[in-house]
Amino acid sequence: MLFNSVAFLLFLPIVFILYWFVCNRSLRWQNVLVLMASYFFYGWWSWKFMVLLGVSTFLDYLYGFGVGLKDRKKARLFLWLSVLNNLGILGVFKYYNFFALQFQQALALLGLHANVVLLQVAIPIGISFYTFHGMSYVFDIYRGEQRPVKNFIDYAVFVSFFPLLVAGPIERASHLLPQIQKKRFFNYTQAADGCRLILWGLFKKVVIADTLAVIVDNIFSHYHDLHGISLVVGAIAFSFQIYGDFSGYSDIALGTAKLFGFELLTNFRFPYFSRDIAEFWRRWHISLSSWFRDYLYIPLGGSKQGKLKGVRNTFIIFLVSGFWHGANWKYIAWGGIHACGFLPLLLLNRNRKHTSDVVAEKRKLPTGKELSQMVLTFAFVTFAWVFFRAADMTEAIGYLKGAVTNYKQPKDFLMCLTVCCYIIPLIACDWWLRRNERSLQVPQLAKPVVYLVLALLVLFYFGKQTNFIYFQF
Amino acid sequence: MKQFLIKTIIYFLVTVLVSGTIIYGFISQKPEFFLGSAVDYFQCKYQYEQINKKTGFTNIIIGDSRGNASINPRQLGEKWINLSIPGSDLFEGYITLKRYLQHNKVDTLVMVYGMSYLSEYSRWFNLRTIPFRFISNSELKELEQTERKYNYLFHNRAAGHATLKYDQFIRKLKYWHSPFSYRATFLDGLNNFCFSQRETGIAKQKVLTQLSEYRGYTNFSDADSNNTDGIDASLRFEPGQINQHYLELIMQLAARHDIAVYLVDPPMNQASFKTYNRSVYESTINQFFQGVQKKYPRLCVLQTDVWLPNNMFGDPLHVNSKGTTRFSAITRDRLNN
Repeated sequence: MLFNSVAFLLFLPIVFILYWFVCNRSLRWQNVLVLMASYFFYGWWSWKFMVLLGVSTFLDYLYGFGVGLKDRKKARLFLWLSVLNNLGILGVFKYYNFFALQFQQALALLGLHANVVLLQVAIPIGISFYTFHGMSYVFDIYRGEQRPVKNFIDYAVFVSFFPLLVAGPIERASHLLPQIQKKRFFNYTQAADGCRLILWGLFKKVVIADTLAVIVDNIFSHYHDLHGISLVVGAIAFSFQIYGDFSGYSDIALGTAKLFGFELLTNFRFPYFSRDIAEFWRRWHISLSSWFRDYLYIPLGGSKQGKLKGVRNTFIIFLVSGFWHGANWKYIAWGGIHACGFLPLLLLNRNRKHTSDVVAEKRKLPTGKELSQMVLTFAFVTFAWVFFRAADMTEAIGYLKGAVTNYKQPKDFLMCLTVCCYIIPLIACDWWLRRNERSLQVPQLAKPVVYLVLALLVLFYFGKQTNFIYFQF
Repeated sequence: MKQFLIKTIIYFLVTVLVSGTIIYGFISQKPEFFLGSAVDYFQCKYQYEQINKKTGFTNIIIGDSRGNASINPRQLGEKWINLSIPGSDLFEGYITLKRYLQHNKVDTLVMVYGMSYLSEYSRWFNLRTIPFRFISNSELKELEQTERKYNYLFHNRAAGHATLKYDQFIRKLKYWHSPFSYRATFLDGLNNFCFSQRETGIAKQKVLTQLSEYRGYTNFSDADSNNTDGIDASLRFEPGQINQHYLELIMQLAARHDIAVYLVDPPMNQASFKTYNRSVYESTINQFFQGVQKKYPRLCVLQTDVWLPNNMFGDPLHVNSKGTTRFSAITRDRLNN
């Protein structure tokens, strides 16, 4: 079920009413309802994948007890079993075909021919997210930050909670499970905040991202015949499309969770106001980057064990992060580019220079220096997005080449203007909201008008029900 | 909780009300931009006017856009008019004849329909006939009864029998110009309204001049060559039951008013003919023609069974001005014979 679908608009109020009016008497019933709603939400796509979700959840639940044993050797064994189980599921459904084809091509280079068997199965939606939830649970137990959960329903809700099931944020067991194990009470401010976040998320997805998607798709599919400026505008438009799409999704997820009394991890903090790549990764898809930082980068030694190991670990984390997005060289290249952008900062010890949450906190506008840093970081990120968006490496390189060499084709000013019309208001709104991202800081009287305009725009643009980009991961 | 629910519901209702008012306001002021394609709107409305008034022409051509394009009534004679409506089929054909007979006498009726529309695969019924309100409320009710008789939704057999009443209601909302039936296309309409008024005005003038000068004939370009295959010959031709029902009503009306009726198969280009020739589609269409010829002795099928050269087509389905001249001459000769 898509957040931007009529089905979800009916599903959400029904579950909300049942949750607060029928199941509010006990924690158990609240959780049972959330679990049933989550499986219904997931099964809307395919009931077959529900089985995989159920099996994966049950196995991690069992492994949790093993990892929680006092005997560290046994605990480690169960930890590895759980990791192998989760990575195995990911490997089979997401990466098997990629590796099989690479193997076939490698053999072909040696003059050998091999007929590899490819899986004809669609990648289950949200597989990368719920397997990472499962791993976060066993890692937290192993590190002593979480005790094994006895109640299976509680654990199943943690893995399958419908707002975050298919595209995150990737929650930590130590953050979400305590909320699941405690009875929720209705809180007006939290619920109203949730509604505002849902509205803002829908606006970013339906109005901004889906409109830019049409332009971006057109530009990327005809990049040979377009002027270099159009290609640059196309790449910029994609930067905002993916931001609107994914941060819009996260806002709807956070808002929906609030309606049920949950607080999820923040996933985006105005990433395009970052002043360097390190700051960008502290603001973009925060739940994934912090997951990799805590469960991969730091266990590998982080940057504390010398420069060489720091460089190695940086490359590992960025390449794995790229590969997490999909089994394709273009994602690995995208991760590699970010690693190259991060590396100078690490070597010069400047990777933690910009750690404040708010850019230009005490000023209305950024300084000239801040602005140029933001523009440069954005340009770098946009360059890397081309690899992410292109169908493959050849297309990405062709696109970038076209952006600097195609200057004979006619310019499309109308398209550039349209892109600006969607991007500039989004940047302005983000700048305005940057101090308090979760509520609109407008005069009390103006609030209803602002919300009404947003809702009207969502209603007018609401139509195609396009998928979220991150659903494929 | 109570306060939250009340506020949410009020907010939701206000949003729905304001958006509905905005859309309805635009539809009632500038229907051509918000009910569909503006050019289609003007073309259809012009044809509806001709159908509903006394014109004095006693020989009429009815059909879909291929009917508009294929026959220039001026080539057939002084007493001919082309009342074809783009995207229509035998249902609209029946309404056309019924309405035209209220003010005019008819001697000859020529029907030119692309066969695929008679199979009810066309989306135009819901994009033109319903939003442009060609039919009256009672005619729509009559159609609903026919649908109930045959147990499916006209031009949407896939909609399913179980939801027939619901689907009819949704269509009725569209007919009543309910704002939310046009919500999804509202922004496109607004875009055209803001940026294409001039172009629309020019296109309107061109369409109306063409239709009035040539008595309902539409020119699908002057010089072009198109040899794209416009036929899916792997399908069997299966005329929809509702269209067959309206063919029956047309023939009853023709018998009552002593009208000579001709069914003309519109021309096809070389590539289409190659696909069509000796296909399942052709054989099933021939069976249909033989069947109706046998069932209705008053009906004469003028099957062209030939293709016209590529340079006589503006697009895969419609002849250009050269093609019209040629096909009108062929039709005139056949009618005279």
